Amino acid sequence: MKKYGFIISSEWKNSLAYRGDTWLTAIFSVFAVVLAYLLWSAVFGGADTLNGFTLQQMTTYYLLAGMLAPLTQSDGLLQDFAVEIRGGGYAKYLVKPLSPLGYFLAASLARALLPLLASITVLSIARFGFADAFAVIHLVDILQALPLIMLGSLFSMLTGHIIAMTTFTLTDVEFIYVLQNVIKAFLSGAVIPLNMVFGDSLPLLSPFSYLTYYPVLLCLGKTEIPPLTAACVLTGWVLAALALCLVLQKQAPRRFEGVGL
Amino acid sequence: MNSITASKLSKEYRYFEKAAGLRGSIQSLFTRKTKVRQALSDFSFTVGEGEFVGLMGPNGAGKTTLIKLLTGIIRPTGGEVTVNGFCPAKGEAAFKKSFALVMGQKSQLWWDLPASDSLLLTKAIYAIPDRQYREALAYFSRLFAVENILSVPVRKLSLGERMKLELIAALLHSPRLLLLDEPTIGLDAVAQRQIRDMLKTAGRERGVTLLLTSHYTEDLLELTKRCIVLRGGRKIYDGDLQQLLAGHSLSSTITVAFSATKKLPALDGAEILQQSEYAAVIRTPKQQVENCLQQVLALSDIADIKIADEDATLLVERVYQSV
Repeated sequence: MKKYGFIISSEWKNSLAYRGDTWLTAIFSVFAVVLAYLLWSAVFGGADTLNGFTLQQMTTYYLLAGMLAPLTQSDGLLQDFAVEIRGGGYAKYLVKPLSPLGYFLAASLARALLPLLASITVLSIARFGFADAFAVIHLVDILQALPLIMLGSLFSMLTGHIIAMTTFTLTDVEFIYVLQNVIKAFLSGAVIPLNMVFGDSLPLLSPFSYLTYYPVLLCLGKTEIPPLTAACVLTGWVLAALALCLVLQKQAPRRFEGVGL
Repeated sequence: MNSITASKLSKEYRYFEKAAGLRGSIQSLFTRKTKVRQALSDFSFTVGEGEFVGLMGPNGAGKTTLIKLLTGIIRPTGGEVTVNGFCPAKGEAAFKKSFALVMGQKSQLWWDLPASDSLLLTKAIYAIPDRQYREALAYFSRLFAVENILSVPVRKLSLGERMKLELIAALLHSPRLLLLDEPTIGLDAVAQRQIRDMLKTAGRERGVTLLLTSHYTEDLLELTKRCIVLRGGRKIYDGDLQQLLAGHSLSSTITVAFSATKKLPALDGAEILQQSEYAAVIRTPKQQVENCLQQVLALSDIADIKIADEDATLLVERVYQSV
């Protein structure tokens, strides 16, 4: 495990070489929340609630969804892997005593945590600066949501790795990861709270709603699904994705020809 | 004991053929013609422990394919291979720890970080004990004279400096086998020589087995005694490199220096390539060297005579065409 710890620290060191980019991304996430506030203020138009959300809860929803975003995206690494598979660079994982999946997960985690910390810092400052615009969040709700957030993040990373592995067969997976991004953003509730689209008929077994929508509702104290049920569903998906990743990690590189070496 | 044993190794690549032009691109959306290219055929060889062996061959001969097979990057279509006692295709961790691969055109160092960070990651990946790491790093950074650049971001280093650090990263975990694919590509003559000298020293002192591919004949001549020549995926020569080159040498160059101004007369069986007031360069077929020398020695005011073989690159070109 020590080697994966070093991969995380190397990724951090690498990201800090471009720290300006990290902070600018975080600072711009404030604009997304401000825009959401302005938009929903206009939509509410003086109404107390909309689909069960007050304006403060709705703004807080976008604040939390923005914080969680880095954990549910592993696009950068997915693209890096796809390029390495296509260009021969993937060979480095085959000649070193290193699991490519382990590397992918460690690097994904590292790449998610820095922007997450930066965005938590910036958005927390924004939240305290405009306290009246946001709903109150209780620590106990955050603690309940944390395991689900971690499981959801792991599921996102694993699906990213599965897509990366398809590069061995398809050579170019750009369309797939753009598509999965759109689907994931929409079905996870990062774009709009899911009850506004699906009403009460939200599919219990879909993994996507547990990536953003459910943990945010949990933080807001608004969910009706017990956290244990959600954790069981998500654990099932994580185990299935992990099994598929392990099979693909073993089978897919058999097609690798190291073109470009 | 052998470090590498390959028996009837073969590898074929499948690829799709597409007609040129937009029409061909559209056609290929619906139907594609699959082609097979035999990259390596019936290839058998062994390399003993501690041996330095060169792989030679024109582009597309199968050298890199062979290296990919030996390291487990790709799987053979047929035949068997063992490297350091392991089957490369199984990809066991112990096997991966027993060798190192350096490809001149692919870096394993992190571009934006100092090399020392990449070396620390290598230490963690190979689980190198602290003491071994410190000793190896001190030894190699002194040998490669890179102590002062370890903390400089890799992107700020010259190509030669980067290659030295790539080699250190490869050697840190004390591999038994070092595979080098074009390690001096793109380097200037001084950096090439430095890297060759350092590899020689490191190989001698650490008992590493070396398999090297290079288009620079100097690399092969200085580092290896034995060479394997490939052409079209087949082994066409396996033996002494000097002997191979000597066998393909057709002429010698004789440089004569004079102690006084002199014009060289026409010589029987020789061609004068250059002529100046105090020197002349003559080319003569191998079998005419003695006759030519006798004619030169009969002249007066000779200060020095040097006999050289043909340019090694020219010899290699002839080897590829005729073996």
